[in-house]
Amino acid sequence: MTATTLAPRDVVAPSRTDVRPAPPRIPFSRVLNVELRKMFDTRSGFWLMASIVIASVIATVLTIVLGDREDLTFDSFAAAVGSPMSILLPIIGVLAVTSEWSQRTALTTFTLVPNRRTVLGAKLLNTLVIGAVSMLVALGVGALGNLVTAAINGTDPVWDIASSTFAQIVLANELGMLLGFALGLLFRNSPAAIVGYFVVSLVLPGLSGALGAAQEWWYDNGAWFDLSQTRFLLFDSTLTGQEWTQLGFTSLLWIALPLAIGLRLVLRSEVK
Amino acid sequence: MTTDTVDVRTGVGEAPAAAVPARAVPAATPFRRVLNVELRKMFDTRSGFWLMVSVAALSVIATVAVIVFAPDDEITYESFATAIGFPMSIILPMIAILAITSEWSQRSGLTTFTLVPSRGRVIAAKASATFLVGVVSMAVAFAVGALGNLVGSAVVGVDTVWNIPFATVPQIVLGNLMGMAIGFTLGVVLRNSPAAIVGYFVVSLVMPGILVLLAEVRDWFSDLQPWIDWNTSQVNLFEGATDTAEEWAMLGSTAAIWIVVPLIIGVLFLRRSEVK
Repeated sequence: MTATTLAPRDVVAPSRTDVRPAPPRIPFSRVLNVELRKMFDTRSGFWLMASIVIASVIATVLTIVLGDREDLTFDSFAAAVGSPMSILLPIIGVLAVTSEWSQRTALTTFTLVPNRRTVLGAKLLNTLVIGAVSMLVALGVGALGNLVTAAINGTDPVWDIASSTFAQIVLANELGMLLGFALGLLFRNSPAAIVGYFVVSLVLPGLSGALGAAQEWWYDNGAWFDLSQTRFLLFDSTLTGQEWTQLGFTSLLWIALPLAIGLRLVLRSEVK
Repeated sequence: MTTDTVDVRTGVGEAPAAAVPARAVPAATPFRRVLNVELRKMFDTRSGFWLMVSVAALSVIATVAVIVFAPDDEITYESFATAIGFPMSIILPMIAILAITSEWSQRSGLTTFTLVPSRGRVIAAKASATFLVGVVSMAVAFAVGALGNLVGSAVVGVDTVWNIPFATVPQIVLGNLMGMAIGFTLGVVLRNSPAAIVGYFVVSLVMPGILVLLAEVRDWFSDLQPWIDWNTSQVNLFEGATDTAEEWAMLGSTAAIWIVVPLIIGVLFLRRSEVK
């Protein structure tokens, strides 16, 4: 009885070669998902993301404790929360690119997905989404601070930020992240790209101001070439048509151009 | 004759033939050699080399920029020194930070601390090498500025103006060394290049504004601010304005808060931490 139940095994192998099915294309959503996980999965990445929340909480608490509590409005909190954001978010943009080189994961990444454009596209999209979400979180913490202050003072909270201003602040930070991302592509080296970002955002404005004091031509026309002059306007004022054009032109010069050059370099360079 | 000698180390006097052959104990590595190696490390890699070259390159660029952009009556030594001081105040602290953190980012720390297990000596050598690089860089920067002043005044056709009193030169150098010391401290405490670099820009460019703002809002802080804000001390040094005993005491206070205390704590941690 047992002998009859023995399953017939393929003793003779088929003579034809096995056809192995070509795997389906890796969908962009999967690359996007992997790149997003990369930004959160390491200890340093995790704390970088956590620092967004931590820094907003610290800035808000400091504003409540040290500021003139009578005069605090939502605008004060947005400004307080905004200053750590304007530092942290571009660094996230920089490290999204450069950590592949500093940790040498680029070797694996670009072997698994040889189409580097797809990887970089996913990184860029993730960076921008994280920027927008971070700004929402930061302003949420600031709003909480505003409510707490109103409760302490026993007054109505003042909400003095129009939604258009809010959109402008997000745009300004996204531009900062794009600048960081572009510098990351250009240098592919964390220290160089980070120093580059701070030089462009914190040192060049001072130099530009000094030049404007010495040279009348620069004083009149500097806004066409100085990214920070127009980008900082986004934080607290309504831009005129000319200022929007200047913002577009300087962004082209400082963000789009290095982004294009950096992209070209990364697509071609040897990954080491 | 040889049979009389008892090998003390092995404790077997009877059978000298079977004694373990004596191995020469190497002499202790002299500090000079550690210093020399650490100095070479700062120049020998491509990135290190270009970092050092950028000191000279940026001095030249800043000097040329002054000649091209500054109005004629401002072609003075002070303008050149200020212009060169800008890039120096950024690049020198970066050199100090990377002197420490590159051991971790490039993982050379594993080799370094295996060859010289006394980590304090390595850190001391790094500090000395950083100090030397800082002093030499400042000499180069002053020389490039002087050359620019001579060339600039000749090109523009004005008299050469040397308007930095010699007494302020040591203060300017000290100001830059202070920036390097802050960078070095951040490197020792954080041991991570991006974090230390961001940290440096935060404490040097972002924090001063916040402290000044706070001093305006809160009265009790406005008297305290120069004792806490190291940037105020540094700016005073750059202007050669640290004259009174109180100002030197303020400098000492900010240096203690931002350099001495964190550096000691950082070195204590560094000596114990696992090098990965």
